[in-house]
Amino acid sequence: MKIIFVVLAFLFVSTVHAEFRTDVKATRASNAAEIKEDRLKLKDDIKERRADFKLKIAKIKDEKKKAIVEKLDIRFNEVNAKRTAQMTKHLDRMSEILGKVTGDTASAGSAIEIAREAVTAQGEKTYVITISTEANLKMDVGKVRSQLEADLKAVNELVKSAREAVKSLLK
Amino acid sequence: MKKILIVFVTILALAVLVFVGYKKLYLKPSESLPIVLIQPTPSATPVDLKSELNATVDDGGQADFDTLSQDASGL
Repeated sequence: MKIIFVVLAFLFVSTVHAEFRTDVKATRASNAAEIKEDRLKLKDDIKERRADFKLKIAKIKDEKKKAIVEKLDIRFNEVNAKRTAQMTKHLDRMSEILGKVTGDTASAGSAIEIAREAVTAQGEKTYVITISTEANLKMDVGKVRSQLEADLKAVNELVKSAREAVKSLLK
Repeated sequence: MKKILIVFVTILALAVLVFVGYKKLYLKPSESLPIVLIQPTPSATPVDLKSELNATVDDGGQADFDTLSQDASGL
């Protein structure tokens, strides 16, 4: 009697576990598909904006201004890559320091991971100048510059928070 | 009684074997190994870690933002 009960209990638990695993797998797959779709959309959008930029930059008559805009278009993305690489390096260092610290490191570890995810997402961004008219070039460039600055500052705040979380453990 | 006698004789025989083995076969080391001083490497103190953590502080990219502003000033 006991053996039958144990076998039935085992069968029940394994069935529930298998169903749960299938659900988790399905959710993960749908999330991954959504992320992939979003990324593809973003890539298409960037391609479109890049094509528009090339078209409009070709129409600018002032060669000096044209050169500046072209240079800045590259520089924005260079600065983004440089800053995100720097922040990643800092976060790696913080993780190493955290590894040497004893005590409850969970919240600091989670702060580092949140910052790392934000930095990775920032690193994947592409900045393209949307040119309206030749007369408005300064404003158009300024918009992208401000956006880049705001985005990088927001991510940097998360890195700062992670640093503070680690620092609090060293007191 | 017999069992106790057997155990006693066995222990005695073992003791004799150990004693003879130590006296005849054991060679004392004639040369000692060179003395090596092992200095413990200092473990990271909170002060070290603080300075390491301070090394992760930067200007947040302000220098780059200023350069971008300067570059855009020609427009």
